[in-house]
Amino acid sequence: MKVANWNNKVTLGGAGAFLIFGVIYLIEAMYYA
Amino acid sequence: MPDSANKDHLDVTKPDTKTKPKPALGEDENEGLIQPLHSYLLSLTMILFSEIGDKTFLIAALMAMKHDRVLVFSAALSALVAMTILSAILGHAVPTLLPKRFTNFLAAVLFLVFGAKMLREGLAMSSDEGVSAEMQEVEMELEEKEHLARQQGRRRSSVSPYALEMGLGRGARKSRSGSRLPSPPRSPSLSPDRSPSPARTTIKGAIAGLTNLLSLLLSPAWVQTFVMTFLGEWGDRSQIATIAMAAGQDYWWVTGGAVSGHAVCTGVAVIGGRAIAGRVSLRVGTSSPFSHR
Repeated sequence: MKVANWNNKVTLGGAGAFLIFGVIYLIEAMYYA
Repeated sequence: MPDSANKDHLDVTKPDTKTKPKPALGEDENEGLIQPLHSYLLSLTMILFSEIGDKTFLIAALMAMKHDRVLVFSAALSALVAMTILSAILGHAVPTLLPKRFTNFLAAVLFLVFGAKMLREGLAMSSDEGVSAEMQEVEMELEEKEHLARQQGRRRSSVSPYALEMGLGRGARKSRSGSRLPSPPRSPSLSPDRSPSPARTTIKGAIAGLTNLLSLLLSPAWVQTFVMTFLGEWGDRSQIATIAMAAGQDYWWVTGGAVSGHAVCTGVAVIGGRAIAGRVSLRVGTSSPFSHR
């Protein structure tokens, strides 16, 4: 049970990281490239 | 006029060389948000977040329960490094075909889509499923492969005892070394090399040691882990993200970050995999760690 919760948090953390990266790349594409 | 032309020419070149040839490059690099070290950190964190709890992580964790940790770590990391280098090459080749702005935009879209997908998965994940569901999937796959390997081993070894009994030691030895299963210890009566002279025994001993070393380096478990990790990583979101990052950024730093991330993840999987998988899966947890070790 603990592992499942831990996995859930990791997935949500990964989702957050991916979304942040997406925003960074979007800004990079819009303003700097 | 020629003097002025020369002067102008020198005036143009001198400030270029004197003032800042490198700062000019630095300014170009500073134009973007993502600098080399940033791209290293980005790829490192991206791999850490996307690989922990992933299929390749579980493969490494499960294989480390049954086989030597160093062996599993080296096999899984080699597969991941090979895959990362391939992804980086692919990512480096893409911007030559497409403009940088477009590749950056494509990378942004990919990251946002993967992020949204992971967010949905994470929110929809109940406490009962999660790692255990994927772990069972990987277990099934591993069992299938082992079953196949056992069948192949039986087919091959079904010839060897007879051949050994008939005194065909060399043929049996070759078939045994070709087998994909780890060879069990032989009894002296069954050993094919019963050589009379001591010189021959030393040479044969050296050859046997060399073959043992090679079988250790390229053992069936190593090959199985390598192939499963390579195929498991193929088309994975981390691979596509690596391609996207290598397309947009300095691919050397991206590759370095991705390799570091994979090394950390595989290390965690191999060291802590036994505890994690033991808690998740009762079947594997009760059968392999205590019976094999």
